[in-house]
Amino acid sequence: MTLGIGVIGTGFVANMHLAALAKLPGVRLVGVADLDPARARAAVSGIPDARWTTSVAELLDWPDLDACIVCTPNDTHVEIGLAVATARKHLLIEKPLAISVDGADVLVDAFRQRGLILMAAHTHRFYDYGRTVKRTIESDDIGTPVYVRLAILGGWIWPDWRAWVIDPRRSGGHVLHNGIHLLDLATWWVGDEPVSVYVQGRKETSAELAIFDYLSMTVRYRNGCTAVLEMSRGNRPRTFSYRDVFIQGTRGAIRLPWDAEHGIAFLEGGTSLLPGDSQIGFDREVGSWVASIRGESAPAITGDEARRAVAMAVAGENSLRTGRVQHVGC
Amino acid sequence: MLAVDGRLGVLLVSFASVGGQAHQKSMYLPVLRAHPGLQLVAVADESDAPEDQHALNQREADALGLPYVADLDAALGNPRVDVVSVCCPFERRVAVLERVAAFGKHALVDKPLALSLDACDAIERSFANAPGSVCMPAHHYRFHPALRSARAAVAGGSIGLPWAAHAEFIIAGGTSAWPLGELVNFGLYSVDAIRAVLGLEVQSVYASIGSVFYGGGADDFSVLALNFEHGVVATTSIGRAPTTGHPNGYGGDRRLRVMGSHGTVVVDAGAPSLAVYGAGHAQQRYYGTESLRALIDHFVAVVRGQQSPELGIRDARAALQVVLAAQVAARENRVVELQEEDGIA
Repeated sequence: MTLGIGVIGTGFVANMHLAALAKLPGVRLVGVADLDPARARAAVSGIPDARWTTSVAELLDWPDLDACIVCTPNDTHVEIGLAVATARKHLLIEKPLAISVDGADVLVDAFRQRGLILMAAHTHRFYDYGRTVKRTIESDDIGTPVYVRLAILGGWIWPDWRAWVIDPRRSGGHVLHNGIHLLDLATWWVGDEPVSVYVQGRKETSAELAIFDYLSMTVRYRNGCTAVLEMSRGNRPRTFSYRDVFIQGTRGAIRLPWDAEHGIAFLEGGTSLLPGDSQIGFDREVGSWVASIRGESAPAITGDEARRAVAMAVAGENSLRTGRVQHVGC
Repeated sequence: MLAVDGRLGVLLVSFASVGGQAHQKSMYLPVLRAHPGLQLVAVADESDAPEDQHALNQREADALGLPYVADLDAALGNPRVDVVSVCCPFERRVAVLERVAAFGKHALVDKPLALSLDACDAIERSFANAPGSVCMPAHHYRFHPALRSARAAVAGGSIGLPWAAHAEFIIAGGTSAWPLGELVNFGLYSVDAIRAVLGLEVQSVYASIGSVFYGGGADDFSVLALNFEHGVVATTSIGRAPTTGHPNGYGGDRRLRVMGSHGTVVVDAGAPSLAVYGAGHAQQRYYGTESLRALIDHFVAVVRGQQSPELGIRDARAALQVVLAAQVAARENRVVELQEEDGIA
């Protein structure tokens, strides 16, 4: 049976989900909803039979709709997610699941009570590097992880002051918006429960920023493991793109240096890595979500895991605000 | 007084084993002995050192063909002695260094210089009373070519104003932790190196400290999150992992990344090295200057008045203060202001 899917919010990241849907057999884009009619219309341009609307309620009323992908600003996730659950549709929602633990609870409960699939888009779990590190840890080659360093550093701040992601009232802050990728990934790798989070932040791109464009997050886990997770949009040069993974285990270590995955280009404008395929994570993520809706596999990311990531990120935002270590209320 | 051939005369004070490690013999002696600007003169220790210590010192002196002087003042009074390599147990450091300063000699001291801030302060007072005498703690990691290049880049403005630094310092090899813990043992190296590169002081620290590899009471792995002046942030891992077959050998994972307003520098203390592989093994073979040799080169130049000291008692105190504060931070799972812990003795 073909699965009918609607996409709510058609901004930057929705394009990645739409591209993934276009490749996936057995699914059909029913249509999209966006407050901006021009953007909504453009999103379905060239897709046969796909509709568009500016109303979430109208989208949810389309009869052939089975599931939704929500790509709206973070502060709308609870309201829209709850509407999706009430309409008895499955949901893949951009991270963070919510910008408060209470909000995450509401969504997790709503989908659980209705027996619906809820998955948050922690895309890094689906990239080759994330999966390979996970498999290597599970192979027991290095013993039990005692230390994780994951740095994802770039110089690309969002386009201008109109970007909602740099408004903490809308995004929840940088820990909730981007830091949560690393919090989820490292916790998945470690395979244990977080105890506390301490976050150091910097505002590098502009002193006027209301968010911290650089984060260094130190997480302590129940089993004694410690993770140092760096997320940056404030590095220079602006083209800086640097991902570094180092994991020390009780018997050995994993190292994935910055140039491990892509070739290096030495050009007149400077040195940079050759671009990789960033779409593959979205393709796998959507495929995994669809498979779980069909009952072919368990959800790759449970609602409880998405909630835990929110709890860690909220603790992180509190740490940034207070300068103190925050316990994670999982 | 310089030896006849212009070399500085070296007195080796104690071959004590500190926490199971005999650094005088294993670390310092080979470098001091091979240094073209130094000449070994004698081995000595305090007269009231334990009998078995005197016996060990005597054996080592005999093996080197050097006289053993079981009286520190007598040895320091020898005009051929210019510099003293101090590797006595911590409980005798303050007294030994007080005598070295009193005789106007120069001291190269195994790290950690001392285990308390009070002891550091006492040593500083001794040398304050001996103008011209140098006391240098052997924080040699900051002299590693990789760290020196990072320091030069930062100090030269290559990356603009630094705002973050992140380091690994995980030695690969061993069967147990140093009895006083690897944070005290190795933590000083990494903290000192980051301080040297940034040229800033730590204001507060958060830490996680554990015995994750070997069990027992001594810590073998730590993570420190540091807040420096001007809001500059840093983290460092510190440990002795039981990893076998590390491509860098015992050197393990020692790296530093510094990020600034106009760029980033990344250095690896496993370099300069070349890759060697075949017949079932793969190895990065280091071919740079050994950091201890670089420190001793600097020490000799300072003693000769050719360079200003880059490193002194205050650096040892500052690094120790961070370590002591980190111990409190880890125990109480909170951020500790260094001012708060200034009274730790």
